[in-house]
Amino acid sequence: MKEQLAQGIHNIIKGYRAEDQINITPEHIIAWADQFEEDSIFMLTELNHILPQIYITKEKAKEFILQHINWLVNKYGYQSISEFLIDTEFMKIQQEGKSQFAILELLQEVLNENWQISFQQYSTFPKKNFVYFDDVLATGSTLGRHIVDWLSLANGDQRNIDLVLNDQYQLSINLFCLHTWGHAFQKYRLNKDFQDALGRKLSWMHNMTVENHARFPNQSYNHAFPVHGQPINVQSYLANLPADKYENYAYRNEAMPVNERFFSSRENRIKYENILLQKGLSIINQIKGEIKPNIRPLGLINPTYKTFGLGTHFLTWRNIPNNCPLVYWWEVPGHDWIPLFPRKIIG
Amino acid sequence: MNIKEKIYNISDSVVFSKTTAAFGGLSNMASGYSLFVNEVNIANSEILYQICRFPLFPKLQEDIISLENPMEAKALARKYEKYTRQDWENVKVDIMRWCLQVKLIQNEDTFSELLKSTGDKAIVEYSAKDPFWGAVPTENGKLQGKNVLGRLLTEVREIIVKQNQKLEMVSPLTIPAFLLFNYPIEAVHTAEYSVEDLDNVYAY
Repeated sequence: MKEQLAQGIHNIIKGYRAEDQINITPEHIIAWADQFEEDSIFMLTELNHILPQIYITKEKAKEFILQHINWLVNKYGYQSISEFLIDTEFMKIQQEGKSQFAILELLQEVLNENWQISFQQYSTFPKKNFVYFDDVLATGSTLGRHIVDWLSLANGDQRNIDLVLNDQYQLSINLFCLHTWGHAFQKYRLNKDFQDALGRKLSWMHNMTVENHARFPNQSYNHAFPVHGQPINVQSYLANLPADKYENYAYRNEAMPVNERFFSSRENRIKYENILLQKGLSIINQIKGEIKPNIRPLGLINPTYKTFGLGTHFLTWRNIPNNCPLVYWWEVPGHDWIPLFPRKIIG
Repeated sequence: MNIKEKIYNISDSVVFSKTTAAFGGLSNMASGYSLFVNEVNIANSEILYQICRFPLFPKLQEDIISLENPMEAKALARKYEKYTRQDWENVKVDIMRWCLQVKLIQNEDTFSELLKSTGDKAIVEYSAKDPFWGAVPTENGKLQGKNVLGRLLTEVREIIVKQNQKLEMVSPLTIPAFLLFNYPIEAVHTAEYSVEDLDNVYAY
């Protein structure tokens, strides 16, 4: 039973960090699941259900990139890919080794396979379209900072924001996955940082949505988001967090989502979320010394937020975000925990 | 509602009408004063006001918010007027006052400065035909009306000028069913509150 379930998971994620010589074997998957003791079969079963929805293979990423390119060409009204590439700069703001670099490498492959063309051959042409690629907007912190910095850059006597506002430049943010809560915050931040002038001048396109905004209508909560009525250790963890914002986002409204489309059932969702919460807390309890204020059982979040973490369920062939629940990636020498997805630390 | 009409001398008043003209930012229709209520992006105070009409119709609220354009939002709200909350006439002035407070707290630099720049003159919304929210021209070159929006703006100005207060938070109204997307509308914070620490997630 376990072997079969582990094999099912292996089939989905076998390419995870293959480029870094990581090889997640079925045995590793079982060893990870066994940490959940009597819930090991349950965890493996539920993962078989959700992983196909959240794991982005390299091939899937190329499909996404192709969708983005077609969307951009169409949006900006180009008749040919070469005309589009002549005018377009794919921004390289993130440091080497981060997702943006990997996506731009794949973009080269996609352009080559579909049109036998490369964007680099047009790199010296003057640009008017600026495209910021990334894999995921979780809290949006990195993306927001990069966009603010880029818009504030002066280009001669004009800043990039001025060139965008007077339509000399077009700026587009192209993502594989976007979280609705983080997106709302980043839109607000971009509005306020540029005196509410940016508005619809900034384009957004994404392939997948994590609907995690607890005050939006009809969210599918395709992430981990626990309900009220938790045991005392969970309640006391939350009460003692040195954070004071957005406590009303700590628990989801149990009536939501109305229809369960992400987990295998409404009951299994609750069971799964509670297991992640308890195991995440036991991981945190192993930390000796100071606990960094952004660490939460369900994944990293802003230190001032009084919640259990972002609960992200999205990962790619090249890494897992640290906004995902700790049980998936936590790896500290001396700690009694092995991660399912060893995380690549860059910079 | 017992609000008496007044007659305003134009020279003694700050009169606003078009959003692009002087003091146009005082209008609910003005762009450039975005809001964040229940962490939902709302383009301007007119849209905030209109969604408060329809607390039991979250889909309609969603449609109004997504328009972003205040004129279009108002037109859509008018189309669905029959779904307006039953006590609207009794609560609409309180709702408008709350909307203006939200506009103020989340646009500290711009809206607050604009209000201060009106000095101690009466603020009057010029209207061709609405003597309730604004004031209409009279034959002898004055403006006459209840000017409720203008008076509420004057009231909000008092908070920042006379009392020299900086709003820390705007509490929700205590009226029944004060809802956005079926969730109670919660306390509204400054823009700084929501934005100041967004870069801190990975600062450790």
